[in-house]
Amino acid sequence: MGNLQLLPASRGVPEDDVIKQIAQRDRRLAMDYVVRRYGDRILKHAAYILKSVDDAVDVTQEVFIKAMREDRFFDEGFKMKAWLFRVTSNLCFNQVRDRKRRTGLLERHPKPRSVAADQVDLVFADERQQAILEAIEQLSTDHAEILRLRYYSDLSYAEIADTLDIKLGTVMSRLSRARGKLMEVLDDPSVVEG
Amino acid sequence: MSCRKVRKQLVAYLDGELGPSETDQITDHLADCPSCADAQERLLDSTPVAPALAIDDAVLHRFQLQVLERLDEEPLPEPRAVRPSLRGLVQEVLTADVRVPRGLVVLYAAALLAVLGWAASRTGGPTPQPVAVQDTAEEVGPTAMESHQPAAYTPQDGWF
Repeated sequence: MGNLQLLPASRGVPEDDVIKQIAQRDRRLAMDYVVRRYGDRILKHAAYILKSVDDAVDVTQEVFIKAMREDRFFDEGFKMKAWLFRVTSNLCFNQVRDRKRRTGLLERHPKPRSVAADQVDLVFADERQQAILEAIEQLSTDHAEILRLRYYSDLSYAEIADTLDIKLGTVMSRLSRARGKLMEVLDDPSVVEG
Repeated sequence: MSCRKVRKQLVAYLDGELGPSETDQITDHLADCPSCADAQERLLDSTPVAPALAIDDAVLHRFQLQVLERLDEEPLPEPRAVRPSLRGLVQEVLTADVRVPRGLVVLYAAALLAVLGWAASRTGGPTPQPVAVQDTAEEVGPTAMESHQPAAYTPQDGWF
């Protein structure tokens, strides 16, 4: 069992640089703090892409196992948050690709049970946001990804630049274009960018 | 600021990612430009807001515990090899437990003594005259070999 339960609930999770100092003495404890600090955000980011909590849990576990195996993870200057989001996105996209392949097979050899049975409901305050989510799904992978990172996972432009390994100026221009495309799709849902 | 530049930076402006100077310029522009103000309204109306996921706190807590259990099964990576510093290398050499054959040590000591003795004899002996450069190699060769010195050597050069 991890050390999570041993930590008082009222005690705040330390910042990244403190976690890195802890890792020099106890890498396992440092990883506990990383899970506490980023676990729910990574899980939600995966769920936004996969639309399935069960799949998101599996992916997120894999992400933290990879983090544990990553030698550089606690190095000075290593951007843990960006790395976690990047690896999560990559694993999710792999799973989406596999799912599409499986769906293609199922369409050719249909089974009674739908593969979408465990899909999670994303709860919105209004219909407009539901329409926006559906519009995002119709955008290209790059545009959908940058919109999710900014507006669903609440990453700053600098964090997005680190996550996607692109320049800050590219983040600004890509987001601007993505928002433009999003408005186009909202105005005319028949527009499909991706 | 031109409308074109404002439109280019409008998303970053609404996301609060611009500096104070650019933010003020765009704010001023929007107050005077109905077209850009309309573009701002359209962007605000289509800003994605994170949907609430149907995951309650208990599920999140259980998920964290699952992850930590998985991590407990995972072996910790080997400590990373640290690139040694020169100081560390010297220290390592000085403190290393190296076993050298006794014969080799005696041989090395004898060779060192011979070299030191030869050097002492050179500095204590008569000052050799610089060898004059000869026209032919046949005459220079044996002279230089006999004195065990290069042709241009002078005692002032001080090898040791």
